[in-house]
Amino acid sequence: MSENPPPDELQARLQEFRSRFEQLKAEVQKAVIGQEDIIEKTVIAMIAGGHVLLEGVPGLGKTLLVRSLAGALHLSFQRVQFTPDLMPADLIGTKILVDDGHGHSRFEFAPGPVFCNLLLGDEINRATPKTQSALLEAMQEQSVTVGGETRQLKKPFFVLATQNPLEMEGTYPLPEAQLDRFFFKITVNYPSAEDFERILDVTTSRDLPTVQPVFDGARLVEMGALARDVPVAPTIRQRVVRLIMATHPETEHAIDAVRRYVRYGASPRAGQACLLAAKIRAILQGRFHVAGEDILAVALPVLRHRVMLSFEAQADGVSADALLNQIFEAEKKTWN
Amino acid sequence: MPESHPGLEEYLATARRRIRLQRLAQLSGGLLRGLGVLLIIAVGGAWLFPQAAVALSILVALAFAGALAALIVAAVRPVGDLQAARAIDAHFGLPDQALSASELTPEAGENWVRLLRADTQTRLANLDWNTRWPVVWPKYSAAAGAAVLLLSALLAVRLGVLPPSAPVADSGPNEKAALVEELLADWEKAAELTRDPELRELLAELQPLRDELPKMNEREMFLALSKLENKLEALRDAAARDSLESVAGDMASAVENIEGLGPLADALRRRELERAAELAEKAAEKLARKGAEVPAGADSAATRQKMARAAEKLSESGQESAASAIQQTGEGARRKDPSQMAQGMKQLAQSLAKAAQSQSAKARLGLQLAQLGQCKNGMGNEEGAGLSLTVKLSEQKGQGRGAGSEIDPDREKDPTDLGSERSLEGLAGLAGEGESEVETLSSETPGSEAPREERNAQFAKYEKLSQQAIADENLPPAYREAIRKYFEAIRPAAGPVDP
Repeated sequence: MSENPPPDELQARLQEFRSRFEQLKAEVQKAVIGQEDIIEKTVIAMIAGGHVLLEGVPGLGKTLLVRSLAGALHLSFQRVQFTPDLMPADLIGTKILVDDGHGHSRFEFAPGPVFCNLLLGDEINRATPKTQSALLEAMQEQSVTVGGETRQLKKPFFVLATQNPLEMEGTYPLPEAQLDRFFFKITVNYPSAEDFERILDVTTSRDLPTVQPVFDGARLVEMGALARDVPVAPTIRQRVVRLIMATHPETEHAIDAVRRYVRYGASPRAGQACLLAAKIRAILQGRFHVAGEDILAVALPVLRHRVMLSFEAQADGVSADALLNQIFEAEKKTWN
Repeated sequence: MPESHPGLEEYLATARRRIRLQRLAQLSGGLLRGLGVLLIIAVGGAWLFPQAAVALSILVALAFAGALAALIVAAVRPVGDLQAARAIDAHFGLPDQALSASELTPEAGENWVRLLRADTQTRLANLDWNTRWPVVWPKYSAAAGAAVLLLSALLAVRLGVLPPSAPVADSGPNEKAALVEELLADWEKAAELTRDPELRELLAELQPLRDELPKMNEREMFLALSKLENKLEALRDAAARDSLESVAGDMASAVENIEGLGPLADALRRRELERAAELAEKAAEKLARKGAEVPAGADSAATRQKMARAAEKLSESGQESAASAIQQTGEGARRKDPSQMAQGMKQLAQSLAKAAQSQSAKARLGLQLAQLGQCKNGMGNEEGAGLSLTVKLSEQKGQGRGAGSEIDPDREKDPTDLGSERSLEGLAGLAGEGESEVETLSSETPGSEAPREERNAQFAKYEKLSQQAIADENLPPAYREAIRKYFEAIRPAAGPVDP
């Protein structure tokens, strides 16, 4: 049920939303030099209550970003290094036999690292599919089931996973179902020369930057709730539907490249993520409505891991990003 | 909340007006260019070809009407709220703001929508519409408009100085009635000229038809003309029977061996019945004189036999008077009684005179039928209107029917008998009499294939000539048909031929 605060109060809340966002971003940027867009997208995903898959080569500050976010939000943070021998119990916890000191023993649940607010799954694609799948329920339902008993995770719960695109040896690509549960997939690129210079400057001095909590997780949830109230015009909603449908090769308005290179298009969950992220961006842009440009601004991280390319696309060296940009251009032309 | 700003609906209405103006501006550019080019062509055409000025003016008027209609449609075609909102967003750089403000209802979040609308109004109020959304009229549109007006005035002036043209002919039944009336007037004139009682009688019978003509529709007129045609055909058949033409040859044979009747026989052979009547009258007078003798050859067995055959044929064709005249002449010769022969000859002269009248009537009826046929088949056709009975009758020479004077609906039958002095020259002759070219094809191969190929090629060459001949309207249709049949007969077989 959406709240309907008076206009002045609503204006104030929106202003507070923007200032909190800026505060959080500024705090994280103390530790993470550059990568402004990545920080912004990650925070948007967290406000929306979504999980983020960060892809990039080692050493680009993915883990630092997650740690900084956890620190700035006063969230409990756990880091799991995913390896091929990592077992589901290592992640979600298990029941262990405990001696009560009176000669009796009992099974007691020992929670895994998943019981936190912010879980960093480092190199998630190094774990076996079995262990990867153990995260499915946690990501979607925010609960885990151990020994037939379902346990709720802390709220808010975010999974920020990283994966290395180069290390293909000994990796297990994430299944489509798991990929779909990531709100955004953000590609972390090399910093610019200026940012790199600043990184060297900051990280090699005696006083390393520290991140202070700006606000807590409950505030983040409040921000998410407010964002959900942003109204969306029917035409804009239709554009989202059309955009998602355009990734499906069997639809009428799919462009030729989609028909040729896409095996499966994006799921309805992609549409939800797209619209929710667009609502948050609309507030950040100081608007009271969602615009088409908000949709396009968030569409790439929403869709790039949800569009399954065919073997022909891989053979022709066609990337999901390039294909999606073609779709966006084609769709944009139909908007006017 | 900035209540002083105009409401969103007012901005949408302004946007709608601008969209319409923009449509008109864009459309008028294309229309002015098109009209300008058309007017230049029309004015030039009207000056060079005055007879086409009216048609060109109508074309220009239609183009103006079309352009006006297009402008009206562009001006009144509705512009939806969505279209207007999109245009505002596009021109003022508002990312879907007017669109969302116009589409969203309070149900989507009353205060959100209120804030959105207020924000939209504030933004629009602070923007200069003329700067951000100018309505650009096409370059040189004023000059193009002036040129179009000037050219239109020129065309009007050109139309004004043209001499008044004859009213456009009505292509309806009246025109056809006028054509039939013209035909009947021609017959009337011919009747006055020839004093032909039969023609007068026919015209009297046709008077009710003439009176009804202006009221008739095309179908009724066609039926009336068909009826008249049937009547004329019956009259022509009767005239042909009475004209003795079919037995004139036998009559000539019967008298050709009688001394002094050679010219009569010649006249009969040439179907010059009026002349034959005069000669028979003279022969009768000669025989009736005192002391006249039966001419030599009149009582020969051959002559008697020929006379008997001629009398029999005349009797068979219903010409009892002429048959009786021949019989009486023959009987007089047999009895060596010149006075009886004279009576027979006199009676023959009377029959021939009557037959000459029938012959003339037949020729005239043939012309009339031709006129009617052309009138029916090509009403309004200049050829049909040009065939005049008056002219033809006044041009007619001798007793010959004249080549081409008869139009026979059955063109498959034998060619028209060409007895006319005038027309014999062009159409007479026998096969092989004129210049001819003989080409012999031979082949070294014993088979028939090579000569056949050559023959095919040769035939293709001749076929072209034959088609030209068939298309030549100067030749009578029957001759053209004969040419066609001949070339069909010699066309090489399509399939392979066994050696």
